[in-house]
Amino acid sequence: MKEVVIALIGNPNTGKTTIFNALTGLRQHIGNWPGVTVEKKEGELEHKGIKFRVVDLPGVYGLTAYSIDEKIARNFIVQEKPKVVVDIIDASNLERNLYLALQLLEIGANVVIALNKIDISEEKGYNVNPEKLEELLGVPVVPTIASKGEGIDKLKERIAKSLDKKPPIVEYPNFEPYIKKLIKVLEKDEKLTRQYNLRWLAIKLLEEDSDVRAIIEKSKMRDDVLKTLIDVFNDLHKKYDDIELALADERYKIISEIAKKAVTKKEERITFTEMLDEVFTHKYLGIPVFFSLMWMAFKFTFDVSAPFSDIIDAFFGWLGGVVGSGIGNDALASLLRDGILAGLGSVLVFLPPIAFLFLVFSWLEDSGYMARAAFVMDRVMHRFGLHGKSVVPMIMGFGCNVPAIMATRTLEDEKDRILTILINPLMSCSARLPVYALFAGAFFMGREGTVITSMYILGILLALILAWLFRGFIFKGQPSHFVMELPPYNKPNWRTIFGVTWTRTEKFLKKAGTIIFATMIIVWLLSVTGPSGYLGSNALESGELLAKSWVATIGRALEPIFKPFGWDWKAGVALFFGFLAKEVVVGTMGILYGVGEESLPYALASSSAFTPVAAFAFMAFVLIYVPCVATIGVIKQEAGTKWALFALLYELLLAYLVALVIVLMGGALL
Amino acid sequence: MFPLAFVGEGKRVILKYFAGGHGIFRKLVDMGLNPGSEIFVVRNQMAGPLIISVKGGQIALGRGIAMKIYVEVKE
Amino acid sequence: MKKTVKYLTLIFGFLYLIYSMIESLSYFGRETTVIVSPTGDLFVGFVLLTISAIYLTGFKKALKNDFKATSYLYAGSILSIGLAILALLVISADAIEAYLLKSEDFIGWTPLDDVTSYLVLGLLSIFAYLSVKDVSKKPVKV
Repeated sequence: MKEVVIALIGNPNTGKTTIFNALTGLRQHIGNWPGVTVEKKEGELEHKGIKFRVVDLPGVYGLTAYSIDEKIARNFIVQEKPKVVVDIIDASNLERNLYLALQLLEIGANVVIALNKIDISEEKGYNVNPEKLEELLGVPVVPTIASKGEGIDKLKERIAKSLDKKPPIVEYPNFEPYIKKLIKVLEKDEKLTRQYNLRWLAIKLLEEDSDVRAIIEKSKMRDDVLKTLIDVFNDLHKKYDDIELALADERYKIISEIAKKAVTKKEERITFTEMLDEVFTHKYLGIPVFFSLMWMAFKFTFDVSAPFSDIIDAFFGWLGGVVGSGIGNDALASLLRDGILAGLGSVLVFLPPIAFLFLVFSWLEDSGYMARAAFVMDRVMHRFGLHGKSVVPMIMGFGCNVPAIMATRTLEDEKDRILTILINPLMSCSARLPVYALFAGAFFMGREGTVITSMYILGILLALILAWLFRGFIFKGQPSHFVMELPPYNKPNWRTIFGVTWTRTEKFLKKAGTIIFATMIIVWLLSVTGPSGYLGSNALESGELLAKSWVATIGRALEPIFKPFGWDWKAGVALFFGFLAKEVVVGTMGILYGVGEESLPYALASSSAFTPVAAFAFMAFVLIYVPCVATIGVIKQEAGTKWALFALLYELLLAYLVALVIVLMGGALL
Repeated sequence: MFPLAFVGEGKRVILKYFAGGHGIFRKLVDMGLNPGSEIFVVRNQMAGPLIISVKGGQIALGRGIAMKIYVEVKE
Repeated sequence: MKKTVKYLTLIFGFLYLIYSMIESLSYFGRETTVIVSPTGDLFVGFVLLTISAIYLTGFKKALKNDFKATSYLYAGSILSIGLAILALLVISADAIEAYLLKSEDFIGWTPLDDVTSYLVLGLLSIFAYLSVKDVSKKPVKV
């Protein structure tokens, strides 16, 4: 049986993903478009014995090939020639959505329209007549409410029925003679005639589209086409300043005629979206509402996920005990228990909070709030050379930098995106909190809250200052223009939300899981062995033995670097391990001081290793010095090796500098 | 004619032309902001971005770009 | 309709204002218990203050007979109820810790320990929400 390829396309926020899920169910495959990091989703659909391969194209407003998304969508339709292109149209925003539909018809795509969100257009007080729209456009129109699964069966049926339909031709009265004139020349090249819709080539030539121009350059009729084009332009420029805009105007005129006939406006209504936006984008209330929602998101992430982490922790502890006592060979048992299982456990313990963080942010995205957050914060962000959309990854960074850096993909401009990635590790992630809590408890009794808060504020300030500096010296120029649709608020669409949450969590598991896991085993190996050979698994419990391990050797080697701050080799070891995962710092300190985490603050306070100033410097160093291995890994994946190294380097230098300033200032003041 | 950035909240204007080259304006046209279209200014706090309503959809626009969009009061 | 909006925004505006003060004061060491004991989290004080400001802005608009006042009652009640749902989720999570996992940190825990100001206020806000939930089904009367 042969597979029939069909494509899904539509403006962003039209419910395209929901329709894609409804059509394909769980038979989906997610990959990347060749050569770019844009996600490509494919799925299977069977209807009445026909097997379809459904390709989900990126959400776009037009097909001018202005952005990478538009290029991908356009090339797919032009080159792969899917049998049917399902255009998902937001009924509550008909005129703008039809603009894309007209461009699809220009290419000669066999379009089927899914008229989605008819419930929202009703709420707005509009009534879109699908039959009328079908008659006017000449393509099948199926009304749907994808969020409730309505109209999906009908859509499948219409797709199957339309397979060999001939798409209608849209005429642009003011340009028709010129288009015809160009086609007449173009059709002399059989190769072009076979491969492309000549009408589309002609229109794109009028728009001076560079990709189509390149196609013509290779044609045997090149000279004739260009000569005709010059004639046509000479004529057109007498009437229009800008032919591209004139064509757009022509399309919108046709659309407005269609809308006049197909849409009836019942009455003016106030929508939920308008009511919420009155408050959420309010001049003064907008920012407090934003911070309130963020606090709620984090409260949810950490408090509600805690029992799940505890279950995982307990399970691995139990499993480690069982395995450890069941195997006689100490080295093997230790490798399994302290290396592999403890390593696996330390990764998986983070799974619940990270999954919950993804969940709550996917929900905020799906609901439409994130666009408002970017709007509200753009004013502040802009001042530091950042984009309004940078705010979301920055806030997510307080939870975990790994998903936060992945979330920068919503920034279209390369410079904006890399800048946002680079400063993200300075947003103090949750893994650093235990370190602050330990040191604040040991050295700043009674002022813990203030000291810990000061760390967060230090992180934010440094991030903003560095953003400003990087913008001034590396990424010269202004942040890209802020243009963003504010879609109507959605009721939660759990399927989409869980889908997004799962794909992101899976990515975290794969990338971070392998890196953290591998390094945990290396740590184990360096701890239980030393210059004298295997030390025994006891090295992990006794500071005395551990002092003979490779780890201690590393710590001593690092000691001279930390001399100015007055930290000893144990601090060096803790920092070295902290590179793998920040939460390891506290555990390592516990092992090195030979006490449990409960009494560690007293042990630290009574040892002479830290003065309060040195402790404060240490906390600042932990905040800044390097993000964990997983974060570096994800920076490399999202921005490339060069930027990952740059991040590593600038943060080490900055940490050293800040710690030095703190120690010097502390010394001068006290 | 004056820049969109100067239009107060709750006012209706007609888009006249874009000052300066193509590029970003193509995207605006794709989003429904073509010359001749009617714009309703939902939010303009005289600092930071604006929110406008055009063809039934809402779009947030940075102040910088709103300075380059010239409009006229609707008669 | 207009009267309801006026009264509800005023009442809830003040309730949230009072509890935001109590929460903020408790963070700085002055614990006052009015029906429920404060959490001692400064952020709770901040969030309650934000909601209070939303309601009170609505009240101000209602005094001027601005139809937008309804929006503030609606948005305020949505946020309040969201906060209450969050509180309920936290209670369930803590219940798992206490009863299922029998965690050390949760010895002697009862659900009453997690009954916070924002849970009680959020549940009360359901009344505010009910009064505006159908607004968009009717045409606007300007």
